[in-house]
Amino acid sequence: MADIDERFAAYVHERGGHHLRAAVLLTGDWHAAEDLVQESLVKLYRAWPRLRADGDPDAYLRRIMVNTRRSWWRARWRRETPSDELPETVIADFGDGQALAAQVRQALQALPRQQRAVLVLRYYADLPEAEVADLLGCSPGTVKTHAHRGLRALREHLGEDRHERRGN
Amino acid sequence: MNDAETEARRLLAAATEDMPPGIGLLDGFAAARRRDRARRTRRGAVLSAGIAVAAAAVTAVTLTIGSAPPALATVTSALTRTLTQSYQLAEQDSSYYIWNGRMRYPAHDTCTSEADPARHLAAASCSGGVRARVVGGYTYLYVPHPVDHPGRHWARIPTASLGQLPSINSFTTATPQQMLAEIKKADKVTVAGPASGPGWTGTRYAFSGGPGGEIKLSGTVSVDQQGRARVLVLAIRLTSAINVFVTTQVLTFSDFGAPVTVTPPPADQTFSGP
Repeated sequence: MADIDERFAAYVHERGGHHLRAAVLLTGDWHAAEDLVQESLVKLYRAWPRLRADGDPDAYLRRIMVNTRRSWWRARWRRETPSDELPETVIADFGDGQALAAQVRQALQALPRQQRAVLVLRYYADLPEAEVADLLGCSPGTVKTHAHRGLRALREHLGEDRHERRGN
Repeated sequence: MNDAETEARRLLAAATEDMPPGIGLLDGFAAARRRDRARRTRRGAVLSAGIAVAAAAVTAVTLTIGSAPPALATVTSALTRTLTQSYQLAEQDSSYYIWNGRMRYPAHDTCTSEADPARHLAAASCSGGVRARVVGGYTYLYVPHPVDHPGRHWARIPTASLGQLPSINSFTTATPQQMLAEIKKADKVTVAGPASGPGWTGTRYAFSGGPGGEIKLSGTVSVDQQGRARVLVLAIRLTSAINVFVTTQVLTFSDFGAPVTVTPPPADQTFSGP
């Protein structure tokens, strides 16, 4: 670890957890989230010397993560496609908190990629619409539409899932 | 802020509360940097993504057949020969995670595809609903529920823009061509015994190796008497700080040289994406 810039290490210690949590919402599981954040941190570290002292590494890292996630989507087309059907995964033996966490992430994964990204950036990272639009390369109006539809779809997915689980 | 937004914030926060212990972003950072440097160094030799560029990419791989052991030379030659003609491909994939000593998230998928690498044509269809076509310099991906493009189910992406695959994921999301390219880097290839299938006999070779570290590759390649790869079994094991991911892929090639016809989806059903 001695060869890592101290300021960078301090930044990762302070903000890594936040970005890891955002990553798990984008990717759906902690393994992929860890991969995504580490790969993004490597890219950030490459640019670190060029970042001004008053620069915003959060914004920079967020952009890297979104772009990296997009390239993964392209690479993973053979295995991942948006779907209205929630995958049947094993969550029954998790505790209540873990069950809810897994349930929400499954619902997120059922959303189209862009809708999912908007929800995470708007309501988890708490970014304004204009900043989300800039990150995703679309208009603020599109962000608003994605957010509206995403919220509705998330509610529907979770509602159906709860209903099915009660029925079982 | 309305109620729906408040509820979304609460749910998204709750969805991150089961972070497993032991994730150290800086613990794995040195390894990630090593992977990054290694990947960038070998970038010139790695096959590009996408079925359509397979033929050109094969020629970019440096084959050291002259100095290689006979088994490795046979396998690399067979794989290269397989990818320079048209073929049909049946693929069976399975995967699971080992997390806290227990198997999680088992998944199975089957795909069928046909490809003519020389003409940059391919079409694939998987049991999970994934469908793709490669034709005319574009890759078309089927989107069941297009959000911004009602009625247009095919995302059209320039094949060249799919680019190269990132780091560790290149092993779990690879096209057949990319898997074959990785096998060519195996550090140990041995003769495993005779092999046969409908209408062919040959020899099965076992391989193991991979880039090392957290990634282990192993499997077999069955080569027919015409020197073509017929069956490829590839097992990949990825070990991270928090879990283990295991995937096995079985690829069966057939109908070499048969004509392949792929047409783009109707223009009124496509959109530029993603």
